[in-house]
Amino acid sequence: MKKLGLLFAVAMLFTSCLFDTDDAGVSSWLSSHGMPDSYKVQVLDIGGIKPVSVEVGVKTDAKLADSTIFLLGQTSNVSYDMFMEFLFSESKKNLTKLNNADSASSLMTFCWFQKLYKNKNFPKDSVPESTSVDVNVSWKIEYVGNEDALKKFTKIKDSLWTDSLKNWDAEGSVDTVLEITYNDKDTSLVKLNLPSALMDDVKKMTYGARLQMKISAPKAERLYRFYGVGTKLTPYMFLFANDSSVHSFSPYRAANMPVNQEECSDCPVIHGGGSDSIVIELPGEKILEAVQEAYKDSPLENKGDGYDVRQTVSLAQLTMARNDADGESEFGLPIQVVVGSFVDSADTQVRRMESYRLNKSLIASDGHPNLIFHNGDSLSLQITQGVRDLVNKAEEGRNLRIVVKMGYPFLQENDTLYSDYVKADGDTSRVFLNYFDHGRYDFSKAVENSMSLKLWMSSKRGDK
Amino acid sequence: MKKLVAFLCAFVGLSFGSSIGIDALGEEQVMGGTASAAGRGFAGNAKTGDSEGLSVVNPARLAFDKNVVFNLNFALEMDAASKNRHHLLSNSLNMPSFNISFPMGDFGAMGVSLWQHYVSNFSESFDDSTNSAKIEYSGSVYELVPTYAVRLPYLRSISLGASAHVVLGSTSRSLTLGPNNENVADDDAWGTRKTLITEFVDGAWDIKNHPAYYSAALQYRGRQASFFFSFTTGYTLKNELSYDFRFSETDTLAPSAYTREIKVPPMLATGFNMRLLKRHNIMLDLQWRAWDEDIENIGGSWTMPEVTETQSDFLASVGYQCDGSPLFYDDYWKRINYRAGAWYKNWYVKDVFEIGGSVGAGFPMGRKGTTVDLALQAGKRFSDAKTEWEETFFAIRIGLTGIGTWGQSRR
Repeated sequence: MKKLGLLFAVAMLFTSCLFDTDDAGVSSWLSSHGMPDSYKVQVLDIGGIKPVSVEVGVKTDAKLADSTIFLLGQTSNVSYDMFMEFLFSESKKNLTKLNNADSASSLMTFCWFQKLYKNKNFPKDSVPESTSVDVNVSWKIEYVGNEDALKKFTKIKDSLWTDSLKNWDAEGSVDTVLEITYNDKDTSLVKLNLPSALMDDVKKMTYGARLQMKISAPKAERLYRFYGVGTKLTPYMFLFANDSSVHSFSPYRAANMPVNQEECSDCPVIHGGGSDSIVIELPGEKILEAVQEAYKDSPLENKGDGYDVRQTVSLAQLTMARNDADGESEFGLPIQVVVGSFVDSADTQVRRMESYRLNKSLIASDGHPNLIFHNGDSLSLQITQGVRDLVNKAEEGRNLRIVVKMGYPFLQENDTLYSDYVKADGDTSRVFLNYFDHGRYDFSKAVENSMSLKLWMSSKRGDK
Repeated sequence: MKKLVAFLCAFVGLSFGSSIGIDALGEEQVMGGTASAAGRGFAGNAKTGDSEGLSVVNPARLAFDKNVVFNLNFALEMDAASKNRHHLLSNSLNMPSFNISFPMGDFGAMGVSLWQHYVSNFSESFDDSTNSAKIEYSGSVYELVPTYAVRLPYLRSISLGASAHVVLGSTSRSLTLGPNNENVADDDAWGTRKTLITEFVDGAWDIKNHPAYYSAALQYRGRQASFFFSFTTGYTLKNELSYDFRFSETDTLAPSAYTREIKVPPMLATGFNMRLLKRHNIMLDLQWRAWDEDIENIGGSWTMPEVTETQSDFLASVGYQCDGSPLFYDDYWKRINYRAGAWYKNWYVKDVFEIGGSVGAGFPMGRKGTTVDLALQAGKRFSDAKTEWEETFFAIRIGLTGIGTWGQSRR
């Protein structure tokens, strides 16, 4: 069999020496079979696109702050309230010590989120300054007589707990002042003296208690970021008896709830943080008409139980007007606008986030076109999957819906290498600051004016 | 069985061969593509012996076999296609058939073959500074052919045989192209630069409204002359296809389903074998199939023709075989079967015909009847069709035949 294998190899070598595929051979073969060696690309410019509808989605649901950033304060017409849940279960000895003390007090500590504040890409002028902030502390407490009763609270799902915070009905509420001080030590923290009325309620417990507490600072001039629950630098509540600490508790869980203070609820205004979005519905008919006009016939040809897709959208870019003066950013950095499209999937529509193709020459000269708070007066968003789906289905009366959100602050406006990389000096160049800017952006100018859509169409149509 | 077919598909998928008729059915492996038949120019279906084995064209021949025959065939084919001074070189490695047959004495004989009837494997690509393209075809129409043959009770020199052909297999075509930005402004060229789009189609083979198609044959074996006549029913091949546009492995469009139907006409075949001076055989075979409908192509759009036009599919082959001595103590060179042959074939593709010649030999291995058949073939496929290229081919076929006497009592 080895000899036969050798014979095979020699025969193949022999014929390889006699003949060879020439470079143009494949191209010529494709041509003789009626196939080109490349797709024909045609660029369509569709102007005068006015949105059919604009829907703003402002999320005010509470979100867990476990293992993440814990926010307090206000920025860009949104304030962020802190919610914490404590489960007290302590020995008789310590409770007796607390109850018999001449004076008892309590204190909350929050560690500054230095991952952001000490980030080399974080603008130094955005570091918190020392100030006093008016805060409101409210709470409700449930006493329990044994461990089993306390454990029941741990079985409440996080989502149920965060939902319950929408209807916050406090048993006690006190206005107080939080002294803000910041230094760049890793363990730098702020302290909030909790009201004595709260301490009085805590002292009433005989075995244990569930304490839910809300801290809000709607009139703060800025947003403050602390480490969340479950991190190494988790918030702590200290209980003191006669000025000596008898106990410290970390919250069992914590959440932030944004409170929208915008005056206009219908305005196309969204905020950073990853929750707010704006859904823009574009007229499908206008797009399909342009495609039909370009190819002088229907985009679709029936075949079997579907269609022969003779052309498809390789890239679609929507350009709209923008006015950064209508917005507000926390850090003064450009912010990437992320976009998704609603596409058909199994008799329903699903949202697909769009990928981003780089126009390197434009980026080098003018920066990325999908940024707000940077040079220029237009915003270009790539919505390839959405337009591709629209054109491929070409259904009558169907419009294209896209969803727009504020993404992360952008660090490399003119860098065409769209990924983190190590520079020659050994330092790392990062594309994004990986923490949200909770600024606001008003898309009024974008949706009130006409938009333009540019399509790169790839076709497998033959010559007429 | 599915695993076996999957293995065979993967095996065949490694190779690529003739590009003629690639959008229709691909290349036909005539006569089961056995190395022994190939050595004598695809003639010899009328030749009987103790261990000739199963013929997919003449099921009646099997009735005269006295031994169990196991037969596995491989084919290495090198094709040099050319047109207008452009060339494509390709190699293909196939396993055209796998056969096993059992004689049962007065109860006749039965056997089964797995036959790669049509094969379409082709892969070419190019990549230059501005464009890249890749075209891949991969597919086979497999047939599982159970066969039964029996000699008539009183007319023992005549046998009747029948076989069913159960169709299996799959096919696919993938065409990946880069952009042609000739009509795009320089400022806009970034939008599609290096964007590859693949048009992908794949599907399975089946027979419409029936589990199989059938062959029936009559064989006469005389002292010197033998002949056969066989008829194979027409059938409609069903190819359930799924079309898809792919921008990447995870970014695809919703596929369109489409079923193409290929009406394969009935086939008539006959053959004659004359034995001279005990060991010398001269043989002539003919087979004919009148295609009256064109075959819809697997791909569409661009300026591709919708169909592959057909013509009458005709094979005339003539061959010679000098049977080796059955006595193991004879000189080894006397024990070898020597073969030679030539053929003319009209392809089912309009304006394509093929002329080829071959030499071959069957080398006995040891005393127990194992044989290695070797055939060397060369020829040319001529084409006046606009889309098809002419091909010069060279093929090596190897068959491994095991012969046993299971169920035979010593007399």
